[in-house]
Amino acid sequence: MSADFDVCIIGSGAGGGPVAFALAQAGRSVVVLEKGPWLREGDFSKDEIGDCRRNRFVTDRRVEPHAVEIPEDGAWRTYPTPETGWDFWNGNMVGGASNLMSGFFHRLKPDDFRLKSAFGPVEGAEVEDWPITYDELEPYYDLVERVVGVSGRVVPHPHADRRSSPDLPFPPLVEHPLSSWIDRLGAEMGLHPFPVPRAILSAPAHGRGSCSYSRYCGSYGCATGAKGSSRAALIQRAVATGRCEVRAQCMARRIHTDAQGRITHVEYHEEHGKVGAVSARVYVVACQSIETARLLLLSTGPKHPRGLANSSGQVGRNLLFSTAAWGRASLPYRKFKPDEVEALQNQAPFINRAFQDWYSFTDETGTRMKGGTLELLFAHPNPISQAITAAYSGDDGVLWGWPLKKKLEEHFKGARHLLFEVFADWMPHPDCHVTLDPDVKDRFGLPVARVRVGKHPRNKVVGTFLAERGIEILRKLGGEELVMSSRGAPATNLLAGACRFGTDPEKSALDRDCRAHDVENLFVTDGSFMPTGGSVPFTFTIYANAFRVAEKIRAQLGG
Amino acid sequence: MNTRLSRRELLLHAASAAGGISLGAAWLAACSAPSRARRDEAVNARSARVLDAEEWRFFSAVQAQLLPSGPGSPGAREINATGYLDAALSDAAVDLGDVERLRAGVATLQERARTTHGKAFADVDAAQQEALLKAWQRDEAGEEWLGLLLVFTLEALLGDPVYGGNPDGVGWHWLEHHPGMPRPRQPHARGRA
Repeated sequence: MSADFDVCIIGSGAGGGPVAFALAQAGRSVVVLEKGPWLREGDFSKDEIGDCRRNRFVTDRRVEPHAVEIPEDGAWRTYPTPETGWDFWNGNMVGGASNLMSGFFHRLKPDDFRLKSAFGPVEGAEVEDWPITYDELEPYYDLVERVVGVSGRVVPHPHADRRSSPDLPFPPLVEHPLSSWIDRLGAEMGLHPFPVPRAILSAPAHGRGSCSYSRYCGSYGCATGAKGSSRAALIQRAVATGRCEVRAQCMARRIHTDAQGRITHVEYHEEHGKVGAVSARVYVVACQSIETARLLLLSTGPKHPRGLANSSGQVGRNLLFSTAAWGRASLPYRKFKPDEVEALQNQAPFINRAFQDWYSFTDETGTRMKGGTLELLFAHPNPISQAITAAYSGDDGVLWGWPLKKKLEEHFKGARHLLFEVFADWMPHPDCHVTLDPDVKDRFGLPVARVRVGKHPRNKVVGTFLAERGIEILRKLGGEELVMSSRGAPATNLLAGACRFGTDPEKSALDRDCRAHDVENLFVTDGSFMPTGGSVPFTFTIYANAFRVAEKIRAQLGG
Repeated sequence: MNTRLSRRELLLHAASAAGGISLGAAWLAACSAPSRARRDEAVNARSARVLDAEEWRFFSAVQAQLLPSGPGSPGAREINATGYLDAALSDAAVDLGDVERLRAGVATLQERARTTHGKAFADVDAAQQEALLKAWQRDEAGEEWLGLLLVFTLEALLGDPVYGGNPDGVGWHWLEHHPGMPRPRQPHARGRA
């Protein structure tokens, strides 16, 4: 029986886009299933109410919830996400959450591929080395910088990456005057702030426009195509070859396998519940970690009673987030000289400075441990969100009336607001995993993913160490009203793991090529493969690895 | 986030994560067939204007307290706060729980106004209104209710004018905020699934 397509990709985000692009370019026929709608540049605007407050771009969790398990009084209690502050949907449209990213494109460092060997085991954490090295992934980081388009400039510093090309292919975006203040402060403090590579075009290329510097960026779709989303940079170009078909608003419900354990076809829901099916020679799952695990667990078959790729029982295990820690400060104009105030009031959106001076560090007991990245940026300009923050900044409950109006004037007209964000490893934890919920169903009647969020105490230790460094930097820049948060809690927009790759089929779901150990025509190319997540945002690494795996798929297809 | 979030944490979470607000209640309704039908019915029932005349008077009075009009700065009246609220509450993307919570607060405050002053909240004088709100804010329920209504009021102040608040960008102008471009051409309303 001949297949409909060479490759069927489930999910069009950062894991799916590179495979669609590379294989369509190579002359293969590709179909992409995406549960969300297909929006184009012209559909995006800076609409805080629709895009951010009403969550236009994510699945409505009231009809497609997740279940979250959190510890309460020594036991795990389960709540449907709409009853909580949790939401694990991150961007359900063609291109996925990459449409909404900020595009901080830091590479992982060599030690991120060998965390266990470099830093030793951590008690209570399931740390494992990756089966590949930095040098094996490096050519694909380089490829992504060119194909997706990364802007910035490489400067020598003690934590700089080992690179095969000397500099980034696109010049840096326009920087805010504050960036040079940070550079000066760094020099005084003996630190090394460096320009942040951004997946944002600083000049038109590949049929996409360059950045229009319109202030709102992260959390928004890009109206010029400058942001290197999977949609703008990869899917649209794959479709332009004439060999890639995107089926939007089609949610895969089950992957079917035959008596030999090979995949035969994928069954999916169209928007109004009609069920469709598609077949291919090779299948790629890339639905972001939680939904990838859910689909594999739902897809039991005669040879796969525990779900696809799950002979090892590893599917769903060791879900990773990034450890969330952050701080903020205001820089009130009254503290600065007139020319400095003028500089602060500059409306350029990007600071583009990060510190990796503590990518590893030694604590007070002399233990060397993995640290992370500290990113400096302006507080998100969303004015409603800023106003709510200001209203809740007092100690005596929410402000209203004249005190609120005074506070709003100070907040918006009297200061700039700076933020730092920490990116640090989430320790793989036996109690951080995805299973199928026995009770809660989505609008299609399918069991939803149940996410247990167990956290290792190391997350908070590292997050706090970095956040304290961040607060010191903000203070030295003239910051007041310093606020710091480090709870070892997950950043739910930064998801990876739950379908580890490795050399041992007993201890991993995928092989080193991200092919399922136990299903020959199945690959997983989103962030699920990562045994450890590293201390930078995941998107760049997901792109690079998906390009690497695309070559393996091409080889498997032969010809 | 070890436990379920308090109302205040939810609001802050929504603010800091650039995420939306949502509050339980509708979940059970959303996930089983018979009650799903009930939910749809409830959604349709509020597809037209949500506030009746008395509620409109009530919310106008409270919002004028939350955001008073001042010389050189817009208040609830100038930003069309109550008209915005009415439109927002008919948007299916806004949680039904929020609508129910706002309604419950109306009853509480009207009752307090009648008990203390013998008239509806909108009919007592401004100083008495302020005192009633301050007294209620000392209760957790009052604090949460004021926070919820304030969020809708701040949306009317600083959201895009296509949603019916912030006419001619009067809120942006007051706070010297430069909106991002391109601006939305029409409001986004979530389909009533």
